[in-house]
Amino acid sequence: MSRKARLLQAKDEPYETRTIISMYMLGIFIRCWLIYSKYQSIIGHHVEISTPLNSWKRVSEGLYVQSKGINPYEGDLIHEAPVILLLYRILTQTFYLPAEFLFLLVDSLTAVVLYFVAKKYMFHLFVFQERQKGEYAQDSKEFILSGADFLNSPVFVMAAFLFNPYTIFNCVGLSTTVFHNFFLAIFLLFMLQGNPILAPIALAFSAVMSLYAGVLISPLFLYLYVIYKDKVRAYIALGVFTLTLVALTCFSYVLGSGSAFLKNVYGFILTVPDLQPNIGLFWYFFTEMFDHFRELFICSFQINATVLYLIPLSVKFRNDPFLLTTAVLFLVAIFKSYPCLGDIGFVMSLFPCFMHLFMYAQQGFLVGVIFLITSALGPILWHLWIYSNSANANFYFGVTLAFAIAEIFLVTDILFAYMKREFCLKYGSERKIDGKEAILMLE
Amino acid sequence: MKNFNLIIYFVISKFYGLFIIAHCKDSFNENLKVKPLSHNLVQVEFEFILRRFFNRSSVDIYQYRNFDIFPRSFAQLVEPSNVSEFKVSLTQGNWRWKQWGAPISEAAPFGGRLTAWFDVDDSNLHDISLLREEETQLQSQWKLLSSSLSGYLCGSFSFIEDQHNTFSPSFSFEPTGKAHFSSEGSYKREQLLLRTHKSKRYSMWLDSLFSSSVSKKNPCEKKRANQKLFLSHYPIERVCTENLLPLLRLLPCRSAQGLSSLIDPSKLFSAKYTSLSLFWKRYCPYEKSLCDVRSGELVVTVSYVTEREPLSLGNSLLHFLFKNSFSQLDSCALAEQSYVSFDPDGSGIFAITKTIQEVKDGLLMDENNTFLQKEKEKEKERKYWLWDSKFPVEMERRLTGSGKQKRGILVHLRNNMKGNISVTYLETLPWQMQPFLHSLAVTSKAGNRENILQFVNYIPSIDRNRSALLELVCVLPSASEVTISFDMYTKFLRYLEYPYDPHRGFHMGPAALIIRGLPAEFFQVTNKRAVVMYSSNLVVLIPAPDFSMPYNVVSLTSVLLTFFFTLLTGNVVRMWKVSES
Repeated sequence: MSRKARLLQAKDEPYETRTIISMYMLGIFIRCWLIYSKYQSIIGHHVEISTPLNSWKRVSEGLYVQSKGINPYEGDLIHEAPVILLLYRILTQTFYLPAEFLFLLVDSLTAVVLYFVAKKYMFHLFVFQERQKGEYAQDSKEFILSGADFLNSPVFVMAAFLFNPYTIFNCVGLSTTVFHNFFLAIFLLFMLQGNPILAPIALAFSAVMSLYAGVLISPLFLYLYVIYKDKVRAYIALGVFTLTLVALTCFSYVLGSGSAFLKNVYGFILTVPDLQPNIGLFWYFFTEMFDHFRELFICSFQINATVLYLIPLSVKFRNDPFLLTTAVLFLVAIFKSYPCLGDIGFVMSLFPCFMHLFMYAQQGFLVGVIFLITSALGPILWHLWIYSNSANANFYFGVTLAFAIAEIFLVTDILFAYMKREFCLKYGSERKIDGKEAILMLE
Repeated sequence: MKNFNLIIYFVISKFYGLFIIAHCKDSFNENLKVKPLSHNLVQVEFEFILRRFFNRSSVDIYQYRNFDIFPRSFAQLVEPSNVSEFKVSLTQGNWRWKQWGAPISEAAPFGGRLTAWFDVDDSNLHDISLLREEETQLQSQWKLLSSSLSGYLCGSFSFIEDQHNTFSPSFSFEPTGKAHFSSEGSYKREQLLLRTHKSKRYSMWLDSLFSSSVSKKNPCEKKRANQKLFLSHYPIERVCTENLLPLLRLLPCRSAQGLSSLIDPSKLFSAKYTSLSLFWKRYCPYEKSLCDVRSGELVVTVSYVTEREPLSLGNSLLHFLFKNSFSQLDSCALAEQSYVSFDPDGSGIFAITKTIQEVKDGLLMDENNTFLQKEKEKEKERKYWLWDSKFPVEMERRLTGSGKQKRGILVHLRNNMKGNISVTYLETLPWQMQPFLHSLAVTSKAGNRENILQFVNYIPSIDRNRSALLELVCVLPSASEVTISFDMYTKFLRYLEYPYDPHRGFHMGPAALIIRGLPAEFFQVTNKRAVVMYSSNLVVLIPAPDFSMPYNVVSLTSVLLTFFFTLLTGNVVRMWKVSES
């Protein structure tokens, strides 16, 4: 049997609810066990997981300092938005929830939301496929998705979120990216449901936490415009997003911190003053650069992370905005100023939605191996630099670069695979010109 | 006619001038204090006091330009910055309180330290814009003072260009002059000024927007005098002869005559502890209304700890310390008083005080023969390390944490006395270290945190702008040890912000412990209100990048970005086509 046929035959019946629930409990149990073990502080202090933006130690310091009457945005300590800080204060001080329990709760909720996100996306795919069936070529029937695929992908998405070490460490290390991922998951859910009010509100909350989530307004707009074919809803969504952002900013002003938070939160994300190492590209670049060129490169890096690829990709992938969302989220996670493993883990858990593209992806092995090696090597070289005083920063920087290469390969591979599949669906798998063998290439 | 008027005016002013000179006198006193310490060490302190007094009610307009004994260069340095009181000290070596007990006057911390008090008006506390204006003016005065002193003393005080090395603690220190000081007013001022890192215009605009709680100052409100302290410390400043010479140049007899001729630079700078300091304050020997603000007192102190022959006291000690110069010693003709004081049993009370002439006549020797006998007897009774009356408070500060990033500070304070002692612990942290206040732990076997820690004044640091200040007002319970600890993470800096030898580490200044709650006898001797103990400096290893890599890093990262750009653009722009191979 051909490889493709075997894959299609792999899982013809959907997973039982019992299996899903037990898988979910196992995922929660792993997090629970780790978060209450002695490994929590070790994991939480790793720079790959806690950056100056999402470290819970800084948040607790900010809350403590605020309770003593000092403005937490006075120094360069805390870089969370005042609204979000208020949320943390309510959750930890008014409801007396311990931090570990809070993170476990939010992470488990995110897993559930992602399940429904994937389910909705599979439904959309099915509808789209049924609509386009007439245009497909004759011998491309085997590439079309069948019932089992639609039902199993959500399970894989949830499993990818629950058992991905990146997301596990993100939760265990008490990094507030957990909340950011939750807001993003809520946004995805409402976006796929075509809700023009709640989706922009969720997006505004994510954007208030991390500025880069604001680029997702483009896939939202495209989703409502192209998939739901409702121009009114699309423009309503835009308006609601802007209004919510403005409202949240004014609310932050009113919360009493004055305007110091603007420089500390958004100025911090945009101008990158703190050069703590992380898995991104900014830190060493700006450590080694002279101040004369700093503004130029800050601007170019930020444009690179946000709008540079957004517009071309939006135009190209306007028919599949969810793929666009995933791609844009991944690009933001690679090129943002303070990335962490939680961002990467979240996006990777969305990939099982595109299982139909995996057979066209060529670099899976390479990407997997690089991820494995860099994830193991990174902490080792960090230890050598900081604790053993034997290696230096270049080693860690090299690992960061390799990690970025793996991510780049992954995202471009998926996009290539999508284009290839579209071609194959349209023209079939026969590659013959006038009866002679030919190859498929990009021109 | 015109000439005749001029002559009359001239004569009258000169007559008045003569009258005033009789009242307004510059004076110069010099003291040499010798105090033996344990371990066959002795502390020697030279104290030169120069005073200048102006009668405010005099009509001689030239009196401010007449310099008699008081050095003109110094007055010209001090007057433009309008400082009320300042002290600059350059020190080499740490004063070991546990072994040596209390110093003669003050133990300065290692490095260069500059503290200055300026007059402020507390009635401005109601109006933030006036407060900010005052603050800007004070900062320019402070910078003027520090840069003038930097040039004057050949020290590196001009590093105080940016505000990130200057601190203004509210509860730690007090001015020693007669000026009024209120720590509550100072604390309130610092809290109101906390937003000074924004541009002045922007913050004033903001205040006008949200000015419901901020009102304008009532113009009829009277001025309430207060003082503001600026404090700055440079931990790696070295002391050498070129810092000593400007100090000696201030003295009327230079180093030719008088006690200053006994100062030997080679011996001074090879001592275990060397401290040079200048202390200026506004001083008025008479009623305050008579003095002009330019009247003042300048105290030049040269202090060092060196070895001595065992059990040598009196003249033999002086001969040992000063060798050749002692025989040629002559008192300075311009000095009012020239004393040699001696503290025979190290108790801090200078029981023997003789003029130079008496010392040369050998009177010190006669007095000391009886003392020498007594000391030899005492020595048989006691072990030598109990020579000095032990200072009841001990302080030790350490750096904790492994690796270069996660650090902490651990301080042990020990109270050996029966009875609680109220202290203030002042920690000034550079902005390169990020302290975590929620990790501040104050523990002791004899009490808990609420009993020991009474007040915390914490001013957070701003990157590249302001350093962190932590003041803890504590009460040390009797006969117990208190441990203070907090976490401190190092930050990763930019290429040019690393110190010159980054692998040596980063120098942090000392912490100060200001002890006010000691029994009265400790203060009678030194005539001060508080004893200040300084811890040693810390050297913190910071994680440094590889400095040889700017080009490599930029090119590698750019390659990565270009690679991705090419891949993605290729995908977006090109179409899949079947073509012949």
